[in-house]
Parts: sequence; C-alpha cells; structure tokens
Amino acid sequence: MRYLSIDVLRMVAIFVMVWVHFLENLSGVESSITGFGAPLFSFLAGVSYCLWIEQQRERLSSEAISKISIRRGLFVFGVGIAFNVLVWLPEDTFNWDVLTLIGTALLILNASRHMPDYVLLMAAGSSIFVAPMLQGLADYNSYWPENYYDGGLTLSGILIGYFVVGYFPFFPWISYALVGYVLGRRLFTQETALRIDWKPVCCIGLGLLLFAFGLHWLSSQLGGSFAASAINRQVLSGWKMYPPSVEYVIGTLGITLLMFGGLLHFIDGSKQPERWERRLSLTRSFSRYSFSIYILHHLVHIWPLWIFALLRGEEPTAYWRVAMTVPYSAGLATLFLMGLTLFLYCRGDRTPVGMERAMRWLCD
Amino acid sequence: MTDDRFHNCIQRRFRFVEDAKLLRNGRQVSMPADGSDSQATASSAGATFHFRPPLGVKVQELDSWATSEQSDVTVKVLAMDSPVPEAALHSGEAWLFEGPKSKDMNSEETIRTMQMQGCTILQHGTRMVIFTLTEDRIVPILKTMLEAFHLEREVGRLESELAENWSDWDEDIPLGIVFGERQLGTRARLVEHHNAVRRFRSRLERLSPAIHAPHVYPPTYASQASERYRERAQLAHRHEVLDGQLQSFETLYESCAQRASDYANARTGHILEWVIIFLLVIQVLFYSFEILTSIEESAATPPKNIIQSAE
Repeated sequence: MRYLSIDVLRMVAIFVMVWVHFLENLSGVESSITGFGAPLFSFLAGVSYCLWIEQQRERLSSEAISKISIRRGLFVFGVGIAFNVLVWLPEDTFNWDVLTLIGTALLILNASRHMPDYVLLMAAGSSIFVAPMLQGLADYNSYWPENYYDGGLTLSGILIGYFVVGYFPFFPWISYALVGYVLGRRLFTQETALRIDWKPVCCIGLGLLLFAFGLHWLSSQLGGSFAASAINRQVLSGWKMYPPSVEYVIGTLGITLLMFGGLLHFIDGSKQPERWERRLSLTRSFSRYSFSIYILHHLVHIWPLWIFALLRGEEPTAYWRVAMTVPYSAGLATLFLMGLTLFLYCRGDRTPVGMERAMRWLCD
Repeated sequence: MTDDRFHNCIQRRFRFVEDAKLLRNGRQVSMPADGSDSQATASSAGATFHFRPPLGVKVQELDSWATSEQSDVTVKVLAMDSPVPEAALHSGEAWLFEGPKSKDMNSEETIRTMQMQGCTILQHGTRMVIFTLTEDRIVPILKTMLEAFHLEREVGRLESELAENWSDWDEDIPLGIVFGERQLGTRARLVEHHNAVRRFRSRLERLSPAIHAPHVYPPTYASQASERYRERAQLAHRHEVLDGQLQSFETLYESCAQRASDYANARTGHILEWVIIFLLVIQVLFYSFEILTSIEESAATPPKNIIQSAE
C-alpha cells in the first residue's frame, strides 16, 4: 500500500535537493533550505523499507526478504561508488555521498529488523551523541580544508571518512533511517492494524525541535571557560550540516517528524482520500523515480561543467561552484524541475524505467 | 375463544437483582428459611424471593403500574380446576406469543408446556403462565419456576456471550505459543480477555449447584416442577457443553498469561543487556578510532630518517 504522505515528503526532498545542488555546484551559494533534503531522504528510506517488508512478509520467507534486502543494499552502495567515480571523478570515489549511506542503511536495517524498537532507538540516539566525539578524535576540519570533503585514499582515511568525516558518514546519519524504520513499524504494521496516529508523531517532532533549540540556547549560555569552549567546539557546535551537529540532527529529525505527522493527518487520514489522490497523483511518480532523479539531476548539471572545462583545456573542476550567478543557476534548476514534471506527467503510471527498474531486475 | 378470568388476571412483573440489598418501604426484606413469604401473596405486588446460594440473586416484583421499569420476566398465575379449560389455554398461549423476544430464552415457535399433578405451566420467551389447582400452591411454585427461569436465562446469556466472543478469543491463539516485542501492544487486550474468561467461569460455576441439584426426596409439588423445567430446558447438558468450551479458552489464556509474564520479566533484563552492549560498542568504536587516526597521522608524517636523507 502506498501512502501519499510519504510520496509528498519525498517529492519535497527531491525539489529541495535539486534546488540546493544547482545553486551550490553552479554558483557556490548555500541556500536557506540547504540541509533539509538529505534528512528527509534518509528518514524515508527507513519508513519505505518497513513498508516494503510488510508487503513482502505474506508472500516471501524471512530468508528471501533478507537476501533481497542485502542485494538491494549492495546495489545502492555500488551505484553510489560508481556514481562518485563517474560524476565526481575518480579522486572523489570515497566521498561517502548519500547513496552509500542509504545502501548501508538498507543493510543495517535488514540486520536489525527483528530487534525491538527500543534497541533501534538507543542505537539512533547513541550515534547522534557519539558522532561529535568521533569527529573530534578524527580531527574533522583537517578533512575539509576548503569547505568541501577531501579525504585520503589510504584505508584508514577511507574508513574514517565512511564512519565520521565524509559528506554523509555513518555517524550520525544512520539515525534518520533507524528512526524512520521504527516509526514505520509503529504506524504501518499489521499489529497496529494500519492505524494512522499522527498526534504522537507530531508531538515527538515538536519535542525534538524544541530540544534542539534548547541545546542551541544552552551552548550560547555556557560562557568562556575551557570546559564551555570545549563543549561548544566539540558537542554543541551550532546548526551545521558539515559536520552534522547534535542540534542539526535532532532539529531536522524533529522537523521531519512534524511534516510527516501533519501530512499523515491531512492526507492519509483525510475523510476523502480520493480527493487527495487525484490532486497529488504526480507526487507518486516523483517518489517512484527518486533514485533515477537523483542521478539524472547530477548528470544534467555536473557533466556539462567538466566537459566545458575539458574542451577549454582546463582542469575539469575549474568551473565547479563558479560557473554562473544565482539567477541563472536558479533558472536552470526551475527548468529542470519543470521538464521533469512534464516527463513524469506524460509517463503516468507506467512501469518505472531507470535505476529503480534495474534494481528490481537485478535484486528481486 | 378467550377466557375472561385469564384476561382479568394481573400480570406480575419480576426483575432479577444481583448482589443488591433489596428494600421495600424503607425496610430490608428477607425470606424465612422454609421459603414461604407471608407477605407475598398471589395478588400482592412487591413480593421478594431469594434464590438459594450461591446464585446471589434476589427477585424483586415490580409494581404493575410502573410500566417504565424494565422487567426480566412476566408471569400470570391463576388457581384453576384441572384440566385447564381450552379457552384459558388458548388465551394463555396467545398472551405468551405477544411477549417480547429474547435471544437468551427460547423464542422458537413452540411453547414449552409442563403438566403435573393438576398444575399446568406454559413458558415462552420472557413470559410464563401458571395454572395451579389451589391458591396455596401459587407461592412455592412461583418461586421455583422463577429460579428455573433465571437459570435458563443465565445459561442462555452465557451461550450468547461465548458465541459473540469466540472469534475475538480465537485471534489470541497464536499468542499462546509466541510472545515477543511485536506482541507487546496486545497485552491490554490479552488481560481483558483473560479476565473475561475468568468471570465467565465464575458465572458458570455459580449456576452449577442449582443446575445439577439432585432430585429432592420426598418430592414436593414445587421441586418436581423445577426438575421438569430444568430437564425440558436441557440445562445440565448445556451447562456441560459450556464447561467444555470454556476449558479450551482457559487453557489458552493460562498459556498466554505465562508467555506474556515470562517475556515481560525477561525484557527488563534484555534492555539492560542492550545498554551494556551499546556501551561496549561505543568503547570499541573509540578505541578503533584512536588506532585509525594514529595510523592516519603516521601515514601523513614521513619518518625522520627519510626527511634527513632528503636534506
């Protein structure tokens, strides 16, 4: 069963991602919505995995589900590595972008899907609070010399990047998928009789957001002592995505839950769901093609930069972040989204082509 | 063909009251040990009968004019010569069929008829007609018939409730063998069902002494009527069937209670174990990272002899 709220949320994440990436990679500008797309994707990966398991449980054995999950996880991970090589060039093979994170999340969720909810939530909480300490141990800033990740190609460097200092390292980004999975189990499994209970979701989301603001306020009140500055430097470092601070992770988790709960109430919990089905049918297409859209939008705006620079006899990355001003990059992003919308509208409900189909063909 | 005497006979409406102190005119009314009630006559309203323990039920007669009060059984009692005239019988049958249907009592088309020693008793649904030979037989036979009616009604209620709950209770069968984290949310429902089954058993056992009471010796007019009624209503057989059906659910819920209790006790230990596991994993993580970062630092910094030879 598909839930429109999940499709809507994923479509929002796609729009945010496309907008942010176009502006960042073409103009070197960080927009105000930077940092809201990736948490949504990671969270929804957990929710969608839970829903997929519920659908498969009646027709597949537990072993078969595990095999498919492992294949899918490795496929996404592998595509992530290949994507880094082909899009970001071989030097950035191990930059640990979001695809490798989601591939890892699928593997972890498969391994832990029989564990009780409190274990997964403890793991999520631990990863959030352990991450700043690991970042301190690893000297995070030394891997980000010019505000982009420049990891080493040694084994230790690769591992440190994967776990802590990459673009989307295991700690703390795995927490989103774990929370999403637990929430999916609470809301959408047979045991809960498909009861859509949006109020606790919104309350928890609001609580997390307020907690994040509370932490942010606390860090501003700590003063100038050695301990306070250590805490500010290592643990409560403000609302930052790179590295993902405690306030950022908890705050974005709260916002995600608030949005999810609200959409559950107004759309899936609506007394006239068919009305929303008609109005939001396009979101389903966006959601079904999210994997392909992620790759396509990178190809569309990154490859031309490399090709143009090579044709002019320059370093391939010469025009990265400096290709054009914001109005042009924003215009291109809008054009891409409009073209995508048109394509998906014409495509309708036909079987998806692209990465999703390849994944099903290879892994299922 | 109707009988005027029957039509003019007052309907006596009774209500069964459970575990309640019965008051009439501000006084608690009690029943003498021999079962007679000098205050309750065939024609007076407000009579009270106590059933033998442990039924725990008293019968309160409602005022005939208080039609707003719901009664459990309505009775017409007449002293009439035997054999009872056809007109009276037909009037009685017609009156019985006019009564409300009850899912807990026999509401089939046939009327239950019992005749013995000049007494004729007709019963259908929640109405009864009693024809006795003499006035002095009215009170004893009324009491025993009300008790027998109450027994049948209670057995009928238990059968209905069991039928209603059967599919709900069946859904708990898997919990008798497997109880884990995913089933934790069903605990409240399990407790409710377990308590319902226990209460069911309690109610069933409460009826048992009266249903399986041996024949009274020497037999009395009233005791024979009661025994005959119980046989006709097949109360002993129905009670036995309910007992057997309930046993399976009792076994199921005992098993469920055991599983849920065992899991709940183990869960606390599991949580502590997981906390310890997480702390150990974090410790190993920090230790591993210290090693990794030291390897990384030493890889970044070439050894001194290489630097010196380069110089």
